[in-house]
Amino acid sequence: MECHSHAAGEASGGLMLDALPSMLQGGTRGPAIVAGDPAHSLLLQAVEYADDELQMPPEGKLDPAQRTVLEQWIRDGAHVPEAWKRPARGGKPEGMPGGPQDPANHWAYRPPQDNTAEVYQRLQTILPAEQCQQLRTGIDVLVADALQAKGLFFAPPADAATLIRRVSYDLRGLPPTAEEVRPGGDPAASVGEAIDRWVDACLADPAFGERWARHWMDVARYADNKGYVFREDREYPEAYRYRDWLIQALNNDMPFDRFVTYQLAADLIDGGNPAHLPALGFLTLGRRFLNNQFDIIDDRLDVVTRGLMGMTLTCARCHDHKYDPITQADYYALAGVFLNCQEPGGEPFLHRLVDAEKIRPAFVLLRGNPRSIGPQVPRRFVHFLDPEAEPFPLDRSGRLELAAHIVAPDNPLTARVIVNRVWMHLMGSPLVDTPSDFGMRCPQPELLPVLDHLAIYLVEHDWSVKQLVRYILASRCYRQSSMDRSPAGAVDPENLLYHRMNRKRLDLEALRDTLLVRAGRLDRTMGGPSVRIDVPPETGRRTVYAYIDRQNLPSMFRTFDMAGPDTHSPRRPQTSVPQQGLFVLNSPFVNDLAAQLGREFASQAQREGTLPAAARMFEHVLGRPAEREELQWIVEFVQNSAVADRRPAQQRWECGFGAYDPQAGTLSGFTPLPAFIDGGWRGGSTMPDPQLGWCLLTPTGGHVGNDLAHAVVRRWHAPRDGRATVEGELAHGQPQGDGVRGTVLVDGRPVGSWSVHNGKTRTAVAAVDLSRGSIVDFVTDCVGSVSHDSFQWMVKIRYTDGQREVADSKRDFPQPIPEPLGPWGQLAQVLLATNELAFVD
Amino acid sequence: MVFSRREALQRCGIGIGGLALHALLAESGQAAGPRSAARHVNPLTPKPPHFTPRAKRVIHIFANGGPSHVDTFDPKPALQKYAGQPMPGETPRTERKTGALFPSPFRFQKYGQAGIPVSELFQHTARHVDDMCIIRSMHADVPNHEPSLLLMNTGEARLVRPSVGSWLTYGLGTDNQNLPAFVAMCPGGYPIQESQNWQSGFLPGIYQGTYIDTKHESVDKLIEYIRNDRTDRRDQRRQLDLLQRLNRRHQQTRAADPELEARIQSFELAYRMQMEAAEVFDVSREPQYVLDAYGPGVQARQLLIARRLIEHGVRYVQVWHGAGQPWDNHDDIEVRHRALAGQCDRAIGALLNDLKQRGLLEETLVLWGGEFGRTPTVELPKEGSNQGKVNGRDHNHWGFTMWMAGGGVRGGTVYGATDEFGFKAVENRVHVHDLHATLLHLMGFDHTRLTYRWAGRDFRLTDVHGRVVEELIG
Repeated sequence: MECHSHAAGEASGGLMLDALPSMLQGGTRGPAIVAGDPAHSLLLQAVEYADDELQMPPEGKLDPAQRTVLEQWIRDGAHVPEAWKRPARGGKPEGMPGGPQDPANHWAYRPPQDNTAEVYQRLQTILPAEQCQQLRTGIDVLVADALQAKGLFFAPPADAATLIRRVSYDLRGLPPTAEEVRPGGDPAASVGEAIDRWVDACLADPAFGERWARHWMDVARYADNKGYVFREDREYPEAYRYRDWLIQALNNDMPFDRFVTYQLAADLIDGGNPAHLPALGFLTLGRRFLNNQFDIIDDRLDVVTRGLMGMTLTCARCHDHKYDPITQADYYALAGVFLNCQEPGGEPFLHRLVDAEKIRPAFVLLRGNPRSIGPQVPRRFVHFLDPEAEPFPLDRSGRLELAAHIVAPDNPLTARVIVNRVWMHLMGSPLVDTPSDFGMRCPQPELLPVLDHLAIYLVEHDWSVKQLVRYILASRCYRQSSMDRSPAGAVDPENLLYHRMNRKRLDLEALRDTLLVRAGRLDRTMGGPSVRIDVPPETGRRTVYAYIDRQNLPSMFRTFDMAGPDTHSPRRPQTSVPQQGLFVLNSPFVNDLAAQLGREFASQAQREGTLPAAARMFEHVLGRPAEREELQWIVEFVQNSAVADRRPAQQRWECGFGAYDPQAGTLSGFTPLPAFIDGGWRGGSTMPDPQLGWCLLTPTGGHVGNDLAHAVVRRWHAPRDGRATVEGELAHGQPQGDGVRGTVLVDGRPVGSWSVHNGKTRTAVAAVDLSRGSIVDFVTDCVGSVSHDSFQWMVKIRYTDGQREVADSKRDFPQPIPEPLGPWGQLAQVLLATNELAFVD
Repeated sequence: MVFSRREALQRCGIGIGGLALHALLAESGQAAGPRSAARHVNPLTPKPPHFTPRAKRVIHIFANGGPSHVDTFDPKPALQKYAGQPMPGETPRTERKTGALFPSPFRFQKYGQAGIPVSELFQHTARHVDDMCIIRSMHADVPNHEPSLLLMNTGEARLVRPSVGSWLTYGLGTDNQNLPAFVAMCPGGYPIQESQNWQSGFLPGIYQGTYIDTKHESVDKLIEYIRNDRTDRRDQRRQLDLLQRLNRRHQQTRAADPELEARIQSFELAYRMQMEAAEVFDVSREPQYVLDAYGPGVQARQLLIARRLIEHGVRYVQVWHGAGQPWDNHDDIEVRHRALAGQCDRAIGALLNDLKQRGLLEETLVLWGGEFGRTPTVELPKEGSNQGKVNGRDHNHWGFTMWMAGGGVRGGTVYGATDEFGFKAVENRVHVHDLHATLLHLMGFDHTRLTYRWAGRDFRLTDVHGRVVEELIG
């Protein structure tokens, strides 16, 4: 009964055993019992364990006596109590036609209904006037209605500062600046009006498009490469143009129906306007499955149907959908659309799609097997959503027609699905818990009236996403406090009814962007090719511009719950794992930002004293003044800090430059090379460096400077007294120029010098006496001219007495030792790590 | 602990179940009583299970991809006898089409006092058969990797559910707060289904498995950002103390938001991980004879790390063979299975030996297996699916083998059987849910009572299924 009863809501194998009609009708294998005929009753076979695949009950065989009773009962005509003769709950398991969940009755397949007006009338009679007056939008009416049924009402309105920060993150993914937190304007204006203006300002900020494009990129399973494709080039070099198109479309508030249509058929409307062709990346930028055509099509069908309509069409690839009224024919009718598309490549957009020249008919593939061709199906829309719909034209793929069906005003799914996604991002949880599955298994949401109201609102407002956002943000519901309160917290512990705002944690993008903002390092450049954010040099670009490697997504992305780029992602998980803490504590990225902030405020502290600097840093990072207690803690932290420079007093090896006088054999003005880039020490990020020219030292060699004043010098400090030899090989590999000269100096005294041009020479120095702290310099200069003067020179200094230890210029090549963070840097890091920064009330 | 659990219970005057239940509820914020009592509870504090456990820790060696049982632990002489002939009756449906009966190319030999036959592939492991309980009648639901992996790891093939390791760390906490309670190691990247295999699902994120890519050797590479070269530990501790002070203050006005608490905990865990992880993951600290016993290679290294983790109080360690699905040999099963077993057999043998010598095996449950087994029939050529060599086996969820050792299982036992050819489990069948029920039982839990309230329902690892297979318990 646990598996086969109406009471338990289970119909394993489509079989119900608590009503006679169901038993006689049976399940997927046929009737369970044939009254009077035990031999043909499957039920009896099952309990006998005769068939390997049909053994019931699963816990073990019935004992012979029980079995006999059952057999006798069937032979006697299978009499049951009266109650069992009635078909329970319609006599059909859930989801079957005619059953209680007939698709025709499924909430998501029925047109949205808006009964806000009636609800409002009713509420006016039951809610206290004071509460009624607070309802600002239809959303509030409907949510308040659900709340009042549980004896609840909204939380008090959030204060202005909270709302400014909340709106800023929700719309731009960025914190408000210090000026923005204290909006000026008419002092007489109410908080509500100030926030209205702030919402408009954020909607107009280009950062809105960046923030919301990233939400859509989760839907579109955006990545910059194809995944595993064996030896083929893996890159999608122009994927970023799709991302940039999204940003622009959202900033321009392109109506959502146009937005969808371009992404499915930009080449077929608007004269194939090249500006909109990148929209087709929605279809083309999926995984390539070793170029298996049917898998690629399946992925595209999935992103279209789950992403746009919350429909799990791809479940019907091998057989009719198990729960939803989607047939295998529906699948192949739509697969036929993409079967007739191809990617021409080249200008004006590499990843664009066009219809095939010759349109091929579509066939069902039996069990999804490309070799088992079944009946031909006309290319057409999903049957149950539009039974009267014409098949798509025979002379083109049907992408445009598909788009038209998806955004048709009478499609019950599309608008609901997008408003649910928008709501989820703004309110912190979706109205429909499975944002990409609105099928039969998705129960009617608690707040269906809100969903419907918004869906209708969107369509009536010309599919304007910005207007939808503005509408939600205008609501009392959005503007309420996120503070937990009793007794609401106990009545609605999961906040399904929005008795308060959900507290939201910054996602990867918002967190990383915020850290950059606080360190003054955010680079607001928009658009362009994707940039790696997981490898140095650290970029200050917004995280939406990150290169997404589908095949090997860097762990930082996963650690912070980024949407997996492999398939359409309905919503991101939210985890708290120590690796997140490790990133904030130890990653070079966060440490560099903290160091930068630290330097800034350390110098402020020198000028103005610790207390004001600490107060200012706190406010700078967290956007509010510190309370007295907090201020006391952070000042104590800085004052009691005893950060010492724990770098080794002197490194054994150093890389520098100096002026070399070959006549006198003297080196003067040794100076360490300032920059460590690509594994070598040099003047700076450009080559040649404006000051230090071509100076470069690497583990194996380097390049001399431009003149004798810029000879490159590898310097070694002797750890002890003793006798040592020097060995090595100096090589210069080019016929051009005049070669290089290498000289070894011990405590400023030349002990060997060699010139080499397009060849190599040993650089051995017989035993020299060293004392502790002796300096051995390996000087390389340009001889006469500085052309073609890269060289190799690896050396070893070997003590010939005692431990006979060896110093090896390659093995012991000095790496940069980062500067310790210092008290102010440490404080900055603490503030960047706070929950207050990571959560939005 | 100052006094024993029994004493503690007597003092408190409540039963074991009550105590555990209270601890669990406190954690999910459902306990009655003042909030302050529940709020500062560390979700990983050690907690007693329902009854005295046989095992306290688990090492799950996951041969992902599906190792062939008829080539390893379930010899089928009939395959030799009827080699090349079609299997009598209907061939059960698997992922792809299979053909004639395909005998094992590997020799089987009896081991131990129990005289249990094991193939040459696992000759080192086989020396421990007297400590092993071999379940030859495992079965799952479908012949596909993704749902079967999820079923094996979470008890549910499709929906988001917590993994076994998450359930156990939720139920038991961990004995070492300085290391993740639940570690999933896999060299070179993720298995199929990736981190979903060790997900915490609807349980708090702190119960999620921590992924370690054991391809790397140095601890900085094993655990990203494990070292800081700009701030030393002492200063970092000061930083954390200030951070948590600020966080607690922030939290005071925000009641009991589990998200806030989880993030606070994650910083503490991160801090402690730095020290202990550096030590535990450094296998070079092992004496040479131990390194020699485990042998070379990444499997040896990660199994040795597993032992070190267990020894340091980690609750649940999953050791995956490799990224993707290495054991999924649709072609060349002889060559590939030999290579794969060659990579891990000696180390598994060494692990069992090592645990035993250190007295750890008694309380450590070692579990070996894949997400399913493989067909006794040969896989037929199919473009895009295999290389058409007709020398491999398809997935087989109808019947397969897993084994357990230590941790209170009945050693030297074979339980259940597949049919004459090894296709289906027919005798004393053990479903994955039953395995889970048994595993929880060995860890001291009644699987019907280890529950978590979520979205209005009390969820459990075994959902509405599962039976404890008493015969597996020693």
